[in-house]
Amino acid sequence: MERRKSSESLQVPNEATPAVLVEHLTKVFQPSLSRQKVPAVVDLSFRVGQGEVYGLIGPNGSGKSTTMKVILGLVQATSGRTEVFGIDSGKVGSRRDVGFLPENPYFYKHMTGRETLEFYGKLCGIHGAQLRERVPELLALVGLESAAGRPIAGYSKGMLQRIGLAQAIVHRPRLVVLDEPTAGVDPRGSRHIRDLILQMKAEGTSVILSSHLLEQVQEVCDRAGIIYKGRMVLEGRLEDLTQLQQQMEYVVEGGPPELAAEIQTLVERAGAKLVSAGHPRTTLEKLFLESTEDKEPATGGTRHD
Amino acid sequence: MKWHWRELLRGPAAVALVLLAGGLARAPFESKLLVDLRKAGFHPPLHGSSALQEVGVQGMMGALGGLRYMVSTFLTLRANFHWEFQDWDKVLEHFQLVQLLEPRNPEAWITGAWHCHSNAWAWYLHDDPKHSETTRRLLAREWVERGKVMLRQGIEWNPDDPWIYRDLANVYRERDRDLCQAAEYYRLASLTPGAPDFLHRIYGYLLAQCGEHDEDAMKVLRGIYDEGLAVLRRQRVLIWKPSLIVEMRKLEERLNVPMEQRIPERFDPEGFAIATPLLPEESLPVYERLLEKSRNSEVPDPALPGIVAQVRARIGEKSGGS
Amino acid sequence: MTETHANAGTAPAHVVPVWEVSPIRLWVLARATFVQLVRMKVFYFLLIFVALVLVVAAAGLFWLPTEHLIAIKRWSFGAMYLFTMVYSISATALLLPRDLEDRTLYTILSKPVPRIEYLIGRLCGVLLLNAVALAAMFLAMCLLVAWKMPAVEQQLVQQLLHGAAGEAVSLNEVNQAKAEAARYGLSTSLLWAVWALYLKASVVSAVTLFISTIASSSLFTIVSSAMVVFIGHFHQLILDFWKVNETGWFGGLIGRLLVIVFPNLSLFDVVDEVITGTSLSFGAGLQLTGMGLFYVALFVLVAQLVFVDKEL
Ligand SMILES: Nc1ncnc2c1ncn2[C@@H]1O[C@H](COP(=O)(O)OP(=O)(O)O)[C@@H](O)[C@H]1O
Ligand SMILES: [Mg+2]
Repeated sequence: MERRKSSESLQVPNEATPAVLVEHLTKVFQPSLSRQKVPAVVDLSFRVGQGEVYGLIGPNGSGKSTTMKVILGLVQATSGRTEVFGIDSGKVGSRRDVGFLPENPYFYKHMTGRETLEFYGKLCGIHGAQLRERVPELLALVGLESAAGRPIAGYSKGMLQRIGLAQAIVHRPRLVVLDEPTAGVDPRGSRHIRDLILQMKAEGTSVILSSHLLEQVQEVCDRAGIIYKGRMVLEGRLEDLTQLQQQMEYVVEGGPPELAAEIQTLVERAGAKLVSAGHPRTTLEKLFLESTEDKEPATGGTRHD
Repeated sequence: MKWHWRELLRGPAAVALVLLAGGLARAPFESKLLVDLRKAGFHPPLHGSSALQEVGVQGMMGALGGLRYMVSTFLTLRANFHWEFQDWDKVLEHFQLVQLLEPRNPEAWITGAWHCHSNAWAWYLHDDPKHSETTRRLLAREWVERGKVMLRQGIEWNPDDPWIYRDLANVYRERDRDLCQAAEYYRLASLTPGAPDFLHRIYGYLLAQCGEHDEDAMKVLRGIYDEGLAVLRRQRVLIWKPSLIVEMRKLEERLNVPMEQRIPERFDPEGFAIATPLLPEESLPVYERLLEKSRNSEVPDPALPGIVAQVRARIGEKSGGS
Repeated sequence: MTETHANAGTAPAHVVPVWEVSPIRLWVLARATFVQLVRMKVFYFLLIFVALVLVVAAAGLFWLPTEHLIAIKRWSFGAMYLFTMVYSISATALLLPRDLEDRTLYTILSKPVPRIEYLIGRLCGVLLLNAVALAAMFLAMCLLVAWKMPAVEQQLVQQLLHGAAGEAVSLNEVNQAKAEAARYGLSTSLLWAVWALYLKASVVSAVTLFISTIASSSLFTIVSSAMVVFIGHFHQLILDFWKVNETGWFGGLIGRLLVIVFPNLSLFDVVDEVITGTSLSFGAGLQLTGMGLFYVALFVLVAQLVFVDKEL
């Protein structure tokens, strides 16, 4: 509860309507064959300002995808509400300015990459010369020009992710929702995708992305929320989140063992205490592990998709 | 617990409601459409011999949907296969299935029955190696009866088809030598909608030949004769029907028709009052004379030159061909 | 609890007014579906069709000459029926679950595409496929019948001469024979028959679409739709059975319910009679069309009722 208050006090830089507004969102699934209810998201609130890149972070099964689906109107909220640019997610109009890249996207495998983009472009109301111009532009942007004429059936995971990204932004939406955009993509590929996100950000597009790989979020996000078992456990600007700690971390490469001993003595001389020494970790990952382990032992969150 | 009315309009309850309402709403239109279609000859109500049979046939049709004709053609092929091996029981069995599948197809009844009253009959009578002469005669008769039963069932399903009646009549004529029955079935055949004229004529001949209904036969044949005259007057077409004249002369003898009421011996072209059917060779001089007369009269008949030309052409064809 | 009902007032999520349905997007979806099905090589069936009908046309299996024409038409229509039923059910049954499984549904519905548009677009794709296939088969059949027609006419006249037992035959009778042949030839009623078949297939597609919105697997959808098709041909039987036998109020109720809820598909079976020369009036054809459209609309509506609330 306190966390959320702090998030409310963190004012979005843009005073206009937020790109995404999530208020007290709860989603309880009731699988048809069992009586047992699955609370996927519990009383979740956050907002994403226009032009902001927001990261949703949490282990598998913590409710990231569900939250995104509610925002996009693919799943209905059990209670609470979500808005996109001030329009209720239930309304078709709320999707006019949104692009979505689902988790592990897949497309009609009989279509070529180019046809796929044309198909989604037409669904967004782009036709004729405008479409003929936009599609090669997108293919160049995601680096799939050479594969554009091949059927999707032969695409690799990374290519699918990139064509997915391209279809998400085919109509130049003001908000892009990316569910695990770099999951299962090799480092070069994810580098590329991250660059694309940064480019969108530079163009003023709002982005929500989810991930369980934290370094990427850290690199591109303005703000992030850590959710665990459907609840927001920590939220804030990335600087703020990382500044919570008074600790500092030095990453040293190629130092001899004597150097470690010397540092140790230097630290002690300054009246400080060496908390840990070892191989480096992302600060955010550390943060994440702490904040989730503090609450509950991570048992329910092990879900593989 | 406030219950919003919109909740009614969603979920399984809504689906059930809409389906029921839709079903009830369409019911009157559907029955009206069904009545209209029935009037036009579609979805004919079944009139099989028992309710159970109807259910069976309908069930079969429903189950096979639009494919039953494919199945039945396949069964026909199988039946032909058994026919080659003179396995008459199997042939019968297959055709009974075909008839169950498409009772409204006259072909199924006619062909099935033909196997019984002609093929099986002839085989038992002449080719059956196993049985004695007497047994063979009995068996042959039995197969003729089977064929008749089949044709009668076929008529029950297809009362408007002339050809099943015709076949049944022919069985009576050729297998039973029962010309009166044969005549009766030709009569029924001639009454079906769209039946060709010759069915009525053959009915008349058979009635004349069977010997028990001479007066009726005379009426029928006289009708045909008069109609022929009418056609001759109207359309100037001579129809060569030697059997009609032969049968009528025989009847006139038997019934002692007074001379002046009998059909004339010769054709009199002048008055068109009397006619004997003629061959083209015979009719040509008649028409030529008429044409000449017409040319000399005040009102020439415009049709005659054409008729003469046609008759000439026909004669020319014949002599050219031979 | 109050929270649960907080959004009940704003409930018509995804429900769009009719005027918001975009014909262009419908066309995009329908075309994509059509292309998808075509690339699944469904049209190879047409080659089998042509081979089959040619064999029937060439075979001399029939005693009555008109029967030859009837056979060509029956086999053609049988093949058309097979094609449309199999593809209406299996294609429609595959579409939705596959989109769900591949998550293509997410990308489509996260565009400004109302769910009803997705449903109708998919359905239209299947209907388009049926239309193209039926048109092709129908055309092939017509060509074949037209090609066989002169021979059949001649045979009929010969049969007439034969039947007249050696007597001359009047022109009138020859014309009768030709009219008889024409009755079994091509007619506008054949168009109605193929249209009725198309309507029936469309109804089956719509029913399958509806079932696929509630089903969890394609197999279930296919089996249930086949059941609906089966029962849809039994309306008269159900009614008769219920009249003939004393099934009691319970049996009567079940029978009545079945007849009300399941579409009466045998209504569209005008093919058999049309083939053997009965003609369908314009009015009856229009009524059939109305009935078919009504069924399609009804099942699209219930499909939408289920689909609009579906958790994806
Ligand atoms: N359609 C569904 N039916 C039932 N439970 C679901 C459904 N979708 C997700 N869940 C459950 O909701 C929880 C959150 O899932 P999800 O949002 O996919 O997590 P994440 O994307 O963070 O990995 C999980 O426990 C998952 O099993
Ligand atoms: Mg997920």
